[in-house]
Amino acid sequence: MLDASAFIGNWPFRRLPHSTPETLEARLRREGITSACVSPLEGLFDYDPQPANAALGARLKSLPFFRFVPVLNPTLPNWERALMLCQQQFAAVAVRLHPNYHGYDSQHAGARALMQAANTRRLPVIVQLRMQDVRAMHPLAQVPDTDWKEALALALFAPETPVIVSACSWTEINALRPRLEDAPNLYLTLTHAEYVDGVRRFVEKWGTHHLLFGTHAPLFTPTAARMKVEAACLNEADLHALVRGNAEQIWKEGT
Amino acid sequence: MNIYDAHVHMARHVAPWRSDDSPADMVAAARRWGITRQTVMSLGNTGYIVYPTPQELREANSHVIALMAQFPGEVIGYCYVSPKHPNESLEEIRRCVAEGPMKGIKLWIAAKASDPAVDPILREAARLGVPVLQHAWYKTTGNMADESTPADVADMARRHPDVTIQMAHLNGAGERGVQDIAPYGNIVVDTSGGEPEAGLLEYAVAELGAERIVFGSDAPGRDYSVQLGKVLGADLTEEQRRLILSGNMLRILGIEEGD
Repeated sequence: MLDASAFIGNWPFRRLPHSTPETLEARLRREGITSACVSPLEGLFDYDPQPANAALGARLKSLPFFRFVPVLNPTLPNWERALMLCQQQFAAVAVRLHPNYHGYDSQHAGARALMQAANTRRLPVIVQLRMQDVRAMHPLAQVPDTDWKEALALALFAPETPVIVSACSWTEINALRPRLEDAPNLYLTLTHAEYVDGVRRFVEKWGTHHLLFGTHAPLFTPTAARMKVEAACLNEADLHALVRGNAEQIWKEGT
Repeated sequence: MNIYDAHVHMARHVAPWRSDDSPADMVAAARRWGITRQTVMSLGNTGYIVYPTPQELREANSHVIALMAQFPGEVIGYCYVSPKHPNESLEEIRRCVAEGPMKGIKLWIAAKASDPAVDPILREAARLGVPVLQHAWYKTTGNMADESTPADVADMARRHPDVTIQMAHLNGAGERGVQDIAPYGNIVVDTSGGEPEAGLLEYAVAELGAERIVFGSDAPGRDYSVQLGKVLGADLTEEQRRLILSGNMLRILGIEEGD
């Protein structure tokens, strides 16, 4: 299995188990995961995410289990240099955007320039809609979700760039899935999608096309992500596409 | 292990997806994971009704009683009542619990647990020796008007020390909620609802003890697999996991493992 969306680092509001690269790798391997795309959690909160990117990128060089996904903030003047460094020095395989935590939308000039630069560098872009349930946020650190329409707008603006929309609910997946016709560069992770028998019901209707397995670890327990997919009892082809094939296709085409 | 899911909603308004019967679909989805017993409540035949009328309560509970007959031993019904209708609620408890097959009482968000209006219902629960399942949440975005917080549930437990109170939604309670209820040994908390956040269950076990935590899913709004994954994926001993997944609910309801 390839985990398309995980993190490494400390979360300001709760001590997380398995938050270091070594412990997270061991924890994910216990679930049968053999590779994981990871970003630094500090990238959300630090005034400039690049030092956290550089530190994590350097640590991951000796850990081939991980695929490095730096966090970029296109409202900062240094995002383009950060992008170059993360790709050239640390072999970044994608970049992650947090429009809600960093305060911009799809019309922001920096965001649009970043999408173009990612396309030039053949790097997919993960657009993170949320990190946690807004109802459970610290009362003095409330960050509204990014609207799925913002992720769609970025995908439409940069049609050659794979845009992985992460942390969608089923409602958002059901809204985005029909848009694959005009935005075939969209991919959707299942990290936050939950309803009884939800994966099987969705796949029976839509198939596994452009769906990606992801854990949101270490914030979420990866066991839940693995069991969510197992519950669907998919055939071998659909299962492979969902847990690995679709993600590999992105990097095969995008890099 | 036969797993007990202590927080499930079945109702006529839930659409089936594998058959023509949504409770049957839910039971099948639960069995997939070895969940062989479920505490089932209906919060209304037409939707989750915040302020149900007495007639709506009777219709919802009658449906669950029918489900208990359809899935004997597997669906364990709790009686949905409202402190807004105290006399009719007591009559419903008589019909469904004292003289019927239901094993507990469900209070949702018609009145806060700290409101004295719930007291007649709690006194009846004490008299019958049945547990009360009380919704609670700390919502950063603001609770609904009559929605309890864990502090409200702690107040209920202080007033009614002879009643076992199952406080719903560990992930809604969070660390603050765990601390609120910690002094009251007659409160257990269920793991239902919320996202499969890592670390909180281990925190609750450390602060409350595993004997005060029960597994719940909150299906169908949540998925059995994901919610069970919270418990199976947590760093717990096998004995702690056994208590949470089954042992505690069997103890609370006086069910023998072989029943």
